[in-house]
Amino acid sequence: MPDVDIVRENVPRKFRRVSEELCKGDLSPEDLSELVAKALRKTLKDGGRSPSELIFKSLKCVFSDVGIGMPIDVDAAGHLIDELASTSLSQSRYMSLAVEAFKAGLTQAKNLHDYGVVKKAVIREYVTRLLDADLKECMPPVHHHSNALPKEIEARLSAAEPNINSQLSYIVDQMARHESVEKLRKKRVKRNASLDFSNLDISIPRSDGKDGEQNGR
Amino acid sequence: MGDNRFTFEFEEISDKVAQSKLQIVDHRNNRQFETQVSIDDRVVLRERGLQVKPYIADLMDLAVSIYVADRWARRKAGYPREIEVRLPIRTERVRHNPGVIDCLRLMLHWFTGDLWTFRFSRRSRTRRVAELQTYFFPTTNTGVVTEVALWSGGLDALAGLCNRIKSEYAERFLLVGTGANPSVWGLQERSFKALCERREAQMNLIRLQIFQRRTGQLPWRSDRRSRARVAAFAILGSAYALLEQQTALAVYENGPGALNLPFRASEVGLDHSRGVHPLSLAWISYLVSIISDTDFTVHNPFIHWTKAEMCSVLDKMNLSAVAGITQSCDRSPRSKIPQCGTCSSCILRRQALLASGIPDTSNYLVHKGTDQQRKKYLAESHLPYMMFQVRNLRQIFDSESARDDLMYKYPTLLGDIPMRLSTNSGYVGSDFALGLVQVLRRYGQEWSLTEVQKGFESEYADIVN
Repeated sequence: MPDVDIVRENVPRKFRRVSEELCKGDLSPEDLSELVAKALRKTLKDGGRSPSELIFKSLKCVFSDVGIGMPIDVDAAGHLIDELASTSLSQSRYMSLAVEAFKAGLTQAKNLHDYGVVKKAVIREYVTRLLDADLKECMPPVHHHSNALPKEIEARLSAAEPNINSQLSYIVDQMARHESVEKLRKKRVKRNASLDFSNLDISIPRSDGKDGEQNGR
Repeated sequence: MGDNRFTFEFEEISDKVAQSKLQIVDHRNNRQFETQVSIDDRVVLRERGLQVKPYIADLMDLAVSIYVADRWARRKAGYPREIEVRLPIRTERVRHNPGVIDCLRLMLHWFTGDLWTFRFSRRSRTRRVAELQTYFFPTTNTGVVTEVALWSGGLDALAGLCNRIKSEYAERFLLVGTGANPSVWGLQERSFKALCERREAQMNLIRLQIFQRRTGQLPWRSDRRSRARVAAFAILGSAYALLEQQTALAVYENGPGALNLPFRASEVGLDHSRGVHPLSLAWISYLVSIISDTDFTVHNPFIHWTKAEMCSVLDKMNLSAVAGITQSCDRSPRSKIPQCGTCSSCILRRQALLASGIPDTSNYLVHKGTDQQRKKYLAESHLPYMMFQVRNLRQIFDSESARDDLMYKYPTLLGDIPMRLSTNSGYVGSDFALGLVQVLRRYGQEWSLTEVQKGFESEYADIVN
């Protein structure tokens, strides 16, 4: 007696460019992973504070009840987050994802006793599930942009997987450190070679087409 | 965040639609509307000679209020609704029991994802006809093994009932439906009559009908994606079971359909209905138990069966033709052909009939409709999504840790079951969960059958092309 099931036929707006680039296959794995991270940061911020706050609040409650050296009671923790989520007016999709991630992450990390480690495991679960929900398993199942084949898309995703994972780790670290999504920033890329300023042309071309000099007054 | 708040203030719910008013307040737009609702429970007096007790009438009123509020509170995309229900109640055990309000809040959040509050007032002396009158010769089930079951007019309901009849589980089957609209009413009637004509068994069909009259004031249509619909029907069914002095209500639904797992990770939360999920039935059991002060159970005897396994009995009982009378479609297209053939329920139905070797005599728009309809329904088909899920399930079952992997992948829909069912309704939770894993494995295997693959091969190719 199931009622109408809702399926997602297209990726959300924030992931649209990533999805198109995945289909086209023009971007390098590094550039693709940066695009993914950008879309992810935006989604996390627009999803609001509530899902991550729900996770942190529940985790704190769980750890305040656990004795030193005792395993986490995953069932009780599941009840707790369900109860807390049942009073929230935030976006249902991200709250549901947070609840699922909390339960799954805790199941995996239930024998760990360090709050920081468990916190990271749960956030990682949340971010991974979000990426699956809004990109990896949200793309149209048959017809793709640029007539790309599902196998091609899968191959591009797997090629970029290490870079995406590194971006995810950075996001997870930031979220864990600040316990918020507000301060998520782009990952800084360290350059190997230092810049050589001796060859840098800093002159500004003149509007009349003649060679420009420093644009002094 | 959105202010998506509604108040539903019910007058005393009557059995005549003109007599019970409902005021709906849309707080977001600061508007008020008036409409009318009623429940016709006179049928239990007329056909079964049963007088409705006050607490059972209260249960029925609760079901009506949930059904109506869920349908008429307009959704704002992506955000939960705040729904306040104000309802006159007869009995103190409901009115002054904080456990009831708390249970309703949590149960309806589980079903709908919304925030529900209930305020009960004292109902005056007005009673419905079925509460006032007694019958000289009330029917009794004393000494007769009786099963009360929900009757939707769907294939699962039919196959479930046939399995129960064949196994001689009970001597008498009392079926209860709502006939929510004329088309569902007709469907329930037709499938029941067709079964009665072909099979001798003690069966009775009762419909507790909810009437809603749109007064023309309401500026929006009702929500067809009502998620609390099944909760309301199951509460009504439970009320009827209590009237028949039973402490259980059966809901016949196959395991994969009842679990209704998301096809892909993008379907989150309530994108898929939890109507007959084992935890949903446990919630209803709990609510009805508190109100009736009994140990009441709403159970699904076929939770560990696939739909094909349920249907195979139809062939053995020579009832395959009746399967064609039932309907499963979620989209219920407004057409002479009532089933689309491409929604998840239609596809599961077709898969089950193919896998069980029963000829599918139903008409589907995707096969019998016009070219335009065929194109439309192929474009909207859930087949690729279901195939994706089946591929995923197979991958999971290839690993040795399939059970744990499933629990991890679906922590709410599967992982929570062992603990919650063992506390709520006395099931041995982990065995129950293991049975669910096994039924999912068999469901995945059924898709590999040649008949099933042949049945969907060309359609899938059409979708891809």
